[in-house]
Amino acid sequence: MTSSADATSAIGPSALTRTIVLSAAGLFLGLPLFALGAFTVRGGLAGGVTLIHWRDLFGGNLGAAAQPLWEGVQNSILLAIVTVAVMLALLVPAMILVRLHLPRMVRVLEFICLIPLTIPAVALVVGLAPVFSVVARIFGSGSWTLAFAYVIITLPYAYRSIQANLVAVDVVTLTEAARSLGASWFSTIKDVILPNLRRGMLAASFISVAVVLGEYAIASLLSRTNLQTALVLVSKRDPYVSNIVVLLSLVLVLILLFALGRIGTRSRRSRS
Amino acid sequence: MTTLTAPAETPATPATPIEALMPTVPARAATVEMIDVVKDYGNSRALSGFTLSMRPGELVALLGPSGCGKTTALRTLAGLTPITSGTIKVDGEAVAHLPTNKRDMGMVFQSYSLFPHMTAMQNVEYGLRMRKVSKDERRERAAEMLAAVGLEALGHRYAHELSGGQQQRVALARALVTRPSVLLLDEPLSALDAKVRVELRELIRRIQTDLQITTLFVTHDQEEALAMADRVAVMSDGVIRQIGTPEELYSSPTSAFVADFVGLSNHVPGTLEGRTISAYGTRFELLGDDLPDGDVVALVRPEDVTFSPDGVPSTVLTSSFLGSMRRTTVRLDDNVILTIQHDAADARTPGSRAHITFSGRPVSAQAR
Repeated sequence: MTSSADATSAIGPSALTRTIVLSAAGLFLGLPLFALGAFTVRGGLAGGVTLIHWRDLFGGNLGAAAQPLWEGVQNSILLAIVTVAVMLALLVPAMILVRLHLPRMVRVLEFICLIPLTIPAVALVVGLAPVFSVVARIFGSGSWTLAFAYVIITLPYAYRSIQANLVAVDVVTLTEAARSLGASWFSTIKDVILPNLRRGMLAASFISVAVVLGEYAIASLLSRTNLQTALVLVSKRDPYVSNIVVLLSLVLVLILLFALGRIGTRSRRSRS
Repeated sequence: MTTLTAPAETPATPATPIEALMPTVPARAATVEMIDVVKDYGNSRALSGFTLSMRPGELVALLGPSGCGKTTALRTLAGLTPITSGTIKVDGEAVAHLPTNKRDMGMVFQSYSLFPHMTAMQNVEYGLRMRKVSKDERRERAAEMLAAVGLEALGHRYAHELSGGQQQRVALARALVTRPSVLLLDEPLSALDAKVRVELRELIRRIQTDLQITTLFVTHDQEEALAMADRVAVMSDGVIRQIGTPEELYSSPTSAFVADFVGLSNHVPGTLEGRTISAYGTRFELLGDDLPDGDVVALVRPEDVTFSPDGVPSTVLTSSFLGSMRRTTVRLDDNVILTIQHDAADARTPGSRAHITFSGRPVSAQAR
């Protein structure tokens, strides 16, 4: 009998092909990062290698010059938290409800969640601008209110992550089993559904954080400060500092995506 | 991370009666009445006046072809599917308005329904937790129930570390640990291989008998239904066509549908006059409802056909050895094909001539 591993190796690319493809992809992704890193330790026009720019940033030597940067970092962290919280609070109950009680609406919900993919950020902002004038009246004009817009742009990615989890776990049968054992709806969701959607929710959260940390267009056009707009501002004064922060944020996003991949692998292993 | 492979089935079922394992919890045996239950899905009617009465401690099997409404009937009793009209009573009290979690019924599903993030023990404890049973008592009762299904050593395992049969045993323990008034089994054996299926059905029957719990069992496997149930209800088109003991259903089917669905039947052409069918020189009494006089097809069991030197001439087509018996197919000279169940020692060679005769026991029939 042929094992699945044998079958995979028989139909998959050869080791050489895999090595070439992985090396090319690694170079494509790694080279800019390496160049970015090299730039941050460059000694200005005089050349040479120096850590002075890193020390300036983390040693507090930049003073007021770094102020927009820290504000941007704080805002982006707050935005990421609020975006993830609002996204999960809206999406998870809606998806569970549709899955359990309105299965015919799955396509409609999917369509709604995927719409943001088809709308360019600039067009989105044109539509959001009047909405945000109302938002500002209700919630003030703090940068965190951008989270309402970010929830919309993260919907497609978050939906896909949670949907994959919902399909993998037979939520309907688990729910019926819990109900037949005497569990209320609240207990069923808390004890049975949410623990089994943990991976999907984590993946949705990570990918949403990655999207929020990299978002520039909406924040800039709505005149709010986040990490990306702050970077642009700081880069005009000190390109080294902005590139250090870009490098760090890219590494953070890579770590998040790596964690996402690990979650997916663990999920597949546990299913097998 | 190391992935554990599912271990082999635990073979023997425990010999200790389950009542002895659970002395503190009183036995429960409820009556169930489903009266004129109708369930519509849009324009499609799944149940059309479904009526069933179950006695306390009885195991009734709902048997029927796919789409006949048997699972719908079970789900309406569980409260998982709301009814369009009708009455459902448990111990004389109407329950149709109650949500699933208030009906006090245990259920085992066709697909493995263990909570994947909980161990077998935690799964079994869950129903008790919902009933606010203390932690110590929960542990004790769950352990006893796992022992009753022969899995006392596997309480720490997660669902993916158990085989299919073991998962269904845990599901059974989970459904029974709360001592529900009714046990509902929705084709719990259909995903298992043949050997495990037989083991598990014996375990279910033994526990059900020990606990005297009223049980509704849905299956499309007639052998399973006949082997396990006190009474079998044969369904089609959303209603029960006949309900009775396995012996009654097999030997006295009241309709051609039941005769055809339960066990094997030969379709023997004949002529009906009043309530007597004449076919190949044999007279059969008609079972069930009257039919108009004329040409009919009588449904004759394979064991009611025998080889006889002065019978109807035929040619042997196939002959299969089935252990304790043999099943031989013959073609009569008018091209009617019959299956005969007979002594295993009486081997017949395909192509040889044989003469057959009918026992003349009462039969069901349908118009030709």
